[in-house]
Amino acid sequence: MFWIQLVNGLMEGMTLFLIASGLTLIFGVTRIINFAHGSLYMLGAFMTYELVPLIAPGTLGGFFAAVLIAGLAVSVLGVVFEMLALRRIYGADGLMQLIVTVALVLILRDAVRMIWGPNSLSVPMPDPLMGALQIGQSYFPLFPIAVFAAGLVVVGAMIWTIYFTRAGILLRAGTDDRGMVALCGVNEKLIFTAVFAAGAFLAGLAGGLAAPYGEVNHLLDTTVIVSAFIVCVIGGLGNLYGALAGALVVGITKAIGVMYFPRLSMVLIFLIMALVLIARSMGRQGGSAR
Amino acid sequence: MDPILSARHIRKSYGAFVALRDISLDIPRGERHALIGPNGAGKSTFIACVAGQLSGVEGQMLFKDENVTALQPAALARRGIGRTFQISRAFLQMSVLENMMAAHVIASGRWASLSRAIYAERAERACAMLDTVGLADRARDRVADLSLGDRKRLEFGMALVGEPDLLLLDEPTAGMSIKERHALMEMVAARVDAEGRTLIFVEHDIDVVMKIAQRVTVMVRGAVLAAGTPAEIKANDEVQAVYLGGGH
Amino acid sequence: MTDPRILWAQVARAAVNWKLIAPLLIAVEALNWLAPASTSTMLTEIAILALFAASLNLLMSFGHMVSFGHAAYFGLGAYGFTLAVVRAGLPPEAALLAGPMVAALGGLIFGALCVRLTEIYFAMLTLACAQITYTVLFQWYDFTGGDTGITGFMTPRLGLSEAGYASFALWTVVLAVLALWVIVKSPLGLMIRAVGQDRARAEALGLGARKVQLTAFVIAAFFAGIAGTLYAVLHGSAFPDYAGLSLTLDGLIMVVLGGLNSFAGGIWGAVIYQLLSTFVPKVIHEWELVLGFVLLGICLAMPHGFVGLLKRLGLGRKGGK
Repeated sequence: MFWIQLVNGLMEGMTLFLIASGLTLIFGVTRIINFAHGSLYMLGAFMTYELVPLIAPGTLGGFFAAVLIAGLAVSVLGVVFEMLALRRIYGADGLMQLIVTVALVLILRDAVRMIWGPNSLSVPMPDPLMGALQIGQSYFPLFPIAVFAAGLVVVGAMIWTIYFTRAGILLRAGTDDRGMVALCGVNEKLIFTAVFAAGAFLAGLAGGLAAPYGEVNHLLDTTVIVSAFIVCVIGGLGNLYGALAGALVVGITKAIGVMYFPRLSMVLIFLIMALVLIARSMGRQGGSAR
Repeated sequence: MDPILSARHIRKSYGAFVALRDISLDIPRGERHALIGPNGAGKSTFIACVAGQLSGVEGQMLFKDENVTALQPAALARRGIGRTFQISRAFLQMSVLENMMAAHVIASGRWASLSRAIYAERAERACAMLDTVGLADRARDRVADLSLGDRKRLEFGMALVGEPDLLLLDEPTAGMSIKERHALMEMVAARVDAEGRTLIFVEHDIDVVMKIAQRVTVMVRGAVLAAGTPAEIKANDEVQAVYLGGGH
Repeated sequence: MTDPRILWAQVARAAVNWKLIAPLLIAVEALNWLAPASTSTMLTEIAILALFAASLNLLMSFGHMVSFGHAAYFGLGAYGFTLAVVRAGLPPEAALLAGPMVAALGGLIFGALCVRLTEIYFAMLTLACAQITYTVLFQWYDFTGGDTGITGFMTPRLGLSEAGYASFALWTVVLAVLALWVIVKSPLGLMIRAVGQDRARAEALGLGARKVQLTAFVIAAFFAGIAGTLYAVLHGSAFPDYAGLSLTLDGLIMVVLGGLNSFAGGIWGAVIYQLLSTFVPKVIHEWELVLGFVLLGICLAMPHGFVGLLKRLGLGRKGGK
C-alpha cells in the first residue's frame, strides 16, 4: 500500500510539475499569472479522450502520440488566446491581467460542458501499462511509473532547451531583464507568444498524461490550478527547480498523507506551504525596498 | 561632539556584487552632511541601510546611542529617522492634501482611528506645511499630476511632519532647475537649523553641496574615499581625480 | 494661505449622497413588498452579494490587496452562524452575531499569514487559505456535515416572510455598507489607501504596514461574514460551496464589472452581475461562456467598469472615491 501510494504521489508530483513549470515560465517572462492554466490542463485531458480511440487504441505508442497531439492542440489554443487577448494588456494593472485569464477559465469550462457534457468521462489506459510490477512483497502499478518516466523525459528536454539552445538563452535573458532582449534585436512579442505556447503545451501534456488515471470532467480546472499555485508558492515563482521540488513534495505528501490522515491531506499541504512562506518572509524582512 | 548617528563597518552585498564595503561614519547632532560620489558609489544604498530598508546588512548602526541595526523602517521612523526617496514616492493616486494628512495621521500614531477629528486638529499645520514647501495652491491636485520637483517638495514636507531628528534626503533636487535647487536646499537648510535637526543629503550639484553642507563624505565604489569640510574636499587631489574633475 | 477648514473638509468629506440613494432604496422597498415572493428572495440575494463585493472591494480598490479567497469569510460567516445554532444550541437570533465574529477570527488567523506577503504571493496564499477552509468544511463530516452541508436546523428567514426578511437584509446591508464608507473615509481608511499605494513610503513615515493590512483584512472578513450569515439565514442552510472558489471569482468579477478604484463599484457590479445571472441563463444556457466574453470585453475595452461608464456619461459623483 505504501509503495503504491508513493508511486501515485510521484506521478501526481510530476504532472503538477508540468503544469507549475508552465505557470512559472509564463510568469517569469510576462509577469502574468495564468489563472486559466488549469483549464488548459483540463482541455488536454479532454483532447486525449477524443484522440486515444483514434490512434492505434490500446498501444503504448498510440497513447503517447495522442497525448502529444493533445498538448500541441492546447498549445495552439493558448497562442490564439495570447495573441487576441493577453497581448493587449501586457503592462496593464496586474488585476486586469488576472481577470482576463479568469474570463478564459469561464469560457473554457462552459465550452467543455457544452461539448462533452457535465458527466465524468474515463480514458482507457494503454494495455501494456495495466497491472503492476512485483518486487518482493510489494506491488508497483505500472501506469504511474510510466507517466513519471515520461515526465522525466520532458524535464530533460526542458533543461536542454533552456540551457543549450538559442531559444533558451533568450528565455533566460527575458526572465532576467526584459529590456535587454529588446536590445538584442529580438521581437519581444514573439518571445511572449512562444513562452505561452510552451506553457500551454506543458499543461495540455500533463492533462493528457494523467487522463487515464482519474476522472475527466469540467471541474478539473480549479482543482488543478489550486494545487499548481501551491507548488509555485512553495518553489518560488519563476524558479524551475523550486517548482520541481515543490511539485514532488505536494504530490507525495498528498498521496502518503491520504493513508494516515485521510481527511487532512490538504491541510497538511497547506501547513507545509505556510511554513515555507513564513521561513521565506523571515529571510527577506524589509525587502520591500527594491 | 556627540554623534546622533554612528555607522560602524557597514557592509551590504547583493550576491557577488558588494554595494557597500566597510563604511564607518559619524554624524554629529545638528550637522548638515552631504554624501557625494559618482553613480553606483552606494550613496542610496547607504541611505536605505540607515532607514532600515535593506536586509542582510552587516555592521552596526547606532542612533542616539541606541543600537538600531536590525530595526524595521517603521520602527526607525518612529525613533526619529525621516527620509525621502531618490525616485519620489508620494502616494500617487491621492491628492497633495491627502498625502500631507496621511503623514499627520502616521505621526500622531492614531492610524487605527475611525474618528475624523484628527483631520480638523491638524488642518492648520498641514496647510502651513504645504505653504512652506510652496504647494498650497496645489492641495487638491492628484500627486500623479504634479511635476517631479513638486513631488520632491511634497515628500520633504511629509518627512518633516514626523519631526525627525535625522533627515535623510536622497537626491532631493533631482529634476529641478539650478535656481529651484538652490531655493529648495536653502529652505531645507534654514528649516533644519531652526528646528535643530540633523541632515544627510545625497546631491550631485557640487555648487549646492559646497553651499549647504558643513561636512562632506565622498564615496566611490562602496567605500569612503574622503571626508571633511567642503573646502577640504575641494582641495583633495584624490577627490579631484576620481570625481570632481571626472567630467561631471 | 488657503483656509484650512475648507481643505480638511475635503479630506474628511464623507457625505453620502442621500438624494440619489434614498429614492433608490425606497423604490427597492416598494418593489419588495409589491412583487411576488420570488422577487423578494432575488432582492435579498442581490443585497447580500452587494455587501460581499463591497467588503472585497475594500481590500482590492483601497488596499490594493487582491484576495483570491474572499469566499472563505462568507463561508465562515454562514457556518459560524449555523454551527452556533446546531452545535452550541444558541437561538438563531443570538447566533446572528456568531457568524461575523467567526469570519473575523478566520480573517485574523489567515490574514496574519497572508499580509506577510505581497502582490501575487498574497493572492495565492489567500486562495490556498480559502481552499483549506473549503476542504475542512467539505470533509469534516462529524462537525460540519461534510459535502451535504447542514440543512433543516431552523425555519428559513427566522420565520419572517420573504418580503419581511428581504427588508431586514436590505437595511442590514445598507448599514454595513455605510459602516464601510465611514471606514474608508476615516484615518484608518487613509492608511489602508496609503499602504496600498506605496508600502515602503508608508513605512518610511513610521507606519506599521502589516498592522494596517491585517486590520483591513479582518474588517473585510467581518463584513463578508455578515453577508454569509444573512445568506445562511435566508436559506436556512450552509454548504461548503459558500466558501468555494466560484464565489470568490464571482466577487472578483463583480468588482471588475462595477469598476475598480471606486467605492460604489463593487456594489453596482454585484447588482448587475446578480441580475444577469438570474435572467440570462433562462435565455442562454451557456451563461458562463457569455460572462467570460463579457468580462474579456470589459477588461480589454472598458477597464474602469460600470462606474467608469457612469462617470463618462456625467452621472454619479465626481471623483467619488
